[in-house]
Amino acid sequence: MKFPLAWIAEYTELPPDEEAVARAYTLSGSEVEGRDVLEGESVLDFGITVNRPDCMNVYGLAREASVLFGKSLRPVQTACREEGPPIADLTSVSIEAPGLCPRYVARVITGVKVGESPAWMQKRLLQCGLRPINAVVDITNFVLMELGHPLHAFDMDTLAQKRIVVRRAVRDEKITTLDGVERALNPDRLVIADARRPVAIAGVMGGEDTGVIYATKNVLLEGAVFDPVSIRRTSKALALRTDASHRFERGVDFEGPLPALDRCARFILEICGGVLAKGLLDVCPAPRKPEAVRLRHSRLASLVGLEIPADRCVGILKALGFAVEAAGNSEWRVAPPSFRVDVSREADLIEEVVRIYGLQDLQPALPSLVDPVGGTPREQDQEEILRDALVACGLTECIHMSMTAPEVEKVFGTQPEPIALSNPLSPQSSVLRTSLLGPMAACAARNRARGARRVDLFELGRVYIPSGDRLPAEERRVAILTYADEPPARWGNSEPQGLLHLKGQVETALGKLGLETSFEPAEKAPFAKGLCLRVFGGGQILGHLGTVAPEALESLGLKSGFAHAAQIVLDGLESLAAEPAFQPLSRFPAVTRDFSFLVDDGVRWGDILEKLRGLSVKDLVGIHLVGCYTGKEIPEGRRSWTFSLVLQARDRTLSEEDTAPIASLVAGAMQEAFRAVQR
Amino acid sequence: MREERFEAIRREFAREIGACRTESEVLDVKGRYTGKKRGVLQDLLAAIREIPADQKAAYGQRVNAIKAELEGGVEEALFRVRASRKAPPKLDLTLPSIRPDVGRLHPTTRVRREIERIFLSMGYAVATGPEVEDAYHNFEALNTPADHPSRDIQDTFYITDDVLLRTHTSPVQIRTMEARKPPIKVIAPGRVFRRDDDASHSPMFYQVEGLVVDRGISMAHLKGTLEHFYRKLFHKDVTVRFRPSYFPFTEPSAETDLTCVLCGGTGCAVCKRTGWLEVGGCGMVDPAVYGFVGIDPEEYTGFAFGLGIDRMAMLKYGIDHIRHFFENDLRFLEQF
Repeated sequence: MKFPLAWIAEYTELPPDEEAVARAYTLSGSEVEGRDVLEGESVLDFGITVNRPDCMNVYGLAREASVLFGKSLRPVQTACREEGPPIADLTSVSIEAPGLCPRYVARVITGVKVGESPAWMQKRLLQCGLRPINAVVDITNFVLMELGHPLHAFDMDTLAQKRIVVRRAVRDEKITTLDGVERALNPDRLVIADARRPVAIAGVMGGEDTGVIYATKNVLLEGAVFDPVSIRRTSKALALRTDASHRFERGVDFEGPLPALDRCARFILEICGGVLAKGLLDVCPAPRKPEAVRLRHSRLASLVGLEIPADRCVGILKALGFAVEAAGNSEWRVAPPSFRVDVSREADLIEEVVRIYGLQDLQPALPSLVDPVGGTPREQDQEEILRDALVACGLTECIHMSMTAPEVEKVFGTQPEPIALSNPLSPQSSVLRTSLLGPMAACAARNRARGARRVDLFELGRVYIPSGDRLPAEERRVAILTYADEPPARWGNSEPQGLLHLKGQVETALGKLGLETSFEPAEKAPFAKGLCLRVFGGGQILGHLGTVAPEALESLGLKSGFAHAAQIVLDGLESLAAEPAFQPLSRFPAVTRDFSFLVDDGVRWGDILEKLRGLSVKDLVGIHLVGCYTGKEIPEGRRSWTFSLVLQARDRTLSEEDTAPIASLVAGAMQEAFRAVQR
Repeated sequence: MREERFEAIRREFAREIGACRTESEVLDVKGRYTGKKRGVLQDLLAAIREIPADQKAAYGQRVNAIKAELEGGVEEALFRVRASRKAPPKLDLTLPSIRPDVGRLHPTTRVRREIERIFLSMGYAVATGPEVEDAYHNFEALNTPADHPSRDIQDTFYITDDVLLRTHTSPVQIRTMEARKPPIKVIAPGRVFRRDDDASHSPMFYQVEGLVVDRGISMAHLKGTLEHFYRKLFHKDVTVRFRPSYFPFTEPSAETDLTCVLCGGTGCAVCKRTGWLEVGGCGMVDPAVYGFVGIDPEEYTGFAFGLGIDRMAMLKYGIDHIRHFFENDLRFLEQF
């Protein structure tokens, strides 16, 4: 919001150092966001917070400066000569919706000659970013910029029966506004009407055919107070934001219409001539008086942590226009001025004192309190353990937006209907992810396109599952996705190495939480058939892992390479996880016995492992796969498995007599179960 | 007599084995002392026949102990000569190192952990809340009624009229105060969403909320807390300046300005020549907020603050664009 310094300086003395002025404004809450020279003068661009409509004009900013620099605030010239007939003889105002329009004030000037506004006024408007139109319209805008109260000027001769009715619009009523757009109205919209039709959308914009033009002779000036909520709803519904609606929805000075109309009339008489009707029509069904608020000096000191002298507090409030009345020992009754719509409580008054006094003297202190709950939630502790484990596994953490593309969701998601945003920024980010894998796979594709040959990622975050409740279920998950451009090196001769690596990463990471994992074959999108495992831990299904189906990768433009992925649900892991349980160390050496068997091709390691475990070999502490081999020296349809059993007793060194029977036990079992021949 | 013989054997063995320089020398000594055929030990064992019956056991034990000692000496010597068998190969030490294949934490996680660590050390608890929120917790209970212009401060992604992506971590304030009464001293890190996508904004980013409510909490505590925090985070003697501002859920409200961590306050491109960085909003909890959660504002006071985690990471690491954070370009991620 741009205002020239010279205009502000018409109402209070400003120090010559413009930088200092800007800084003082910024440090008291009216932030100066930029400085510019327009029409040869310095213009400040203010970022006024929504609670301070009183600062959205020159006079309000001059008031602030007068308090900040301890100078006087000059009054606004509003005197105007009323030489015409009583206004009641010329027009009437009736308010049919007093809830939406608590005050409507009108003035009438007859016999004007509308030309262009004078150059000095046009300059001011241009500096504020407004386009000059004609003298009367410019004057209303000038007064708006100066005093902050939105005004509207009607060409009185275009008003049916020359009178004003403030009412709700009737269904299907229409109005063409000043911007030339025809707008449909309904009873939720407050309008200013004449005897026949709407002539303005109240507080937002006037009608096209009742506005003041060069030919206008008689002018009816409107200064009103409207219900902020109604104006805001209308402005939003019509997508029509104006200088007027901007101020009305923040709340205008209830007493503002009177000086603003006088000031406006004064300029019209001066610039356009004409005769001002005597008096004004002030329809105000329920006058308002700001309520006084209690302010305790002790409360101010304890809330801020700073002793500001009592007389300084009172001085600041009075300078800001507050009425201060002593009410006992270091207590006051403080009535805010009508233009301070934001002040109604003690805390608001304290803020007023503090923002002018400044907090540079505030001595930093630390609260000694320790939170009784304290620390991090257990779920978060687990998440951090997982992050560290996965980083140690060689995976890099990524963080994706919660919003994703419906096409990605369709391939990778777990829900038929993901949650959709009603106002997405783009179709590519219009639904909430139900799986971490979609955005991660898309990320791999992007990185591949930029030349990465390998992508090893993990992500820990929430997915959003539609639920019967108002809010979706937010599930915490961790996912891994690895992509390699080249076919990976092989383990044995069937399984891609990458997937077993990934399986190991899952085991390692969950192992850090004290979870023993197991797996069973599964079928689940987006994994390739036969290359997917269900992950179990603590007796529950935790998630899935597998090789991503090539079609899924192709849907993201990844035409080559392999991707493997895992996704684990973290909710509930707190109760399954365990601390490491120490096993006493044996004082006696471990013995390793190696075995090598020729086995039929269809036999899987899992089958062999299960068989070996089933033998309940005494003192067995480990079964390790050493190698799997086909090729030279191995008959067609067979393969060679080499594994070792590790045996260790707690109470003695195992002897040859202990281990010899195991060899024959294993050989027999392998022979029986898999037609295995020992090599 | 017998003992003297043992001692002589041990002494002689120690001398001989200590003098060995090669594996074959050690094996030669080993053969002569512990060899099955002509070893000294073998002789000692054979001699047990001549020992009186009542001394046989003691004699046997003594010989076994010596045997263990000699065997241990042989092992040690073998290790010694094998290790010294070859000089270590020469190596070009200017060759590139071989780095372990480790992954990396996302910079947001790194900085979030730093932030959490600092606040945990100050006695805070970490609190969480839903990312998909209802309008009540995101707005109303934070004194931001429907149809109020303060709603415009944050452009909001909606799912329905009543359900939205939280625009700040502040609803966690409400959820915390709904769940328990003061004293409260929490931070709430998490992702937040704004319907805003331009050069300096991302539709999603990370915030940390802070909330302290107790008897006698003042703005001085707020200033001390933030100053302490930022000094720890940036390892610099920064100062905090409060600039009056407006947030519906705090009163008084302030923007937190920090002496620029890059130029130290003299003015640079990052702080737009002002010497100050705007790092987040803060203030004393608005009495209206207490009304929504049933805390007596006469008895308790408190402060709240918010700051951007990604923004802190940008300042710490000199990252020029917030979009880098969620594009997950490996060339970005692998720098941390």
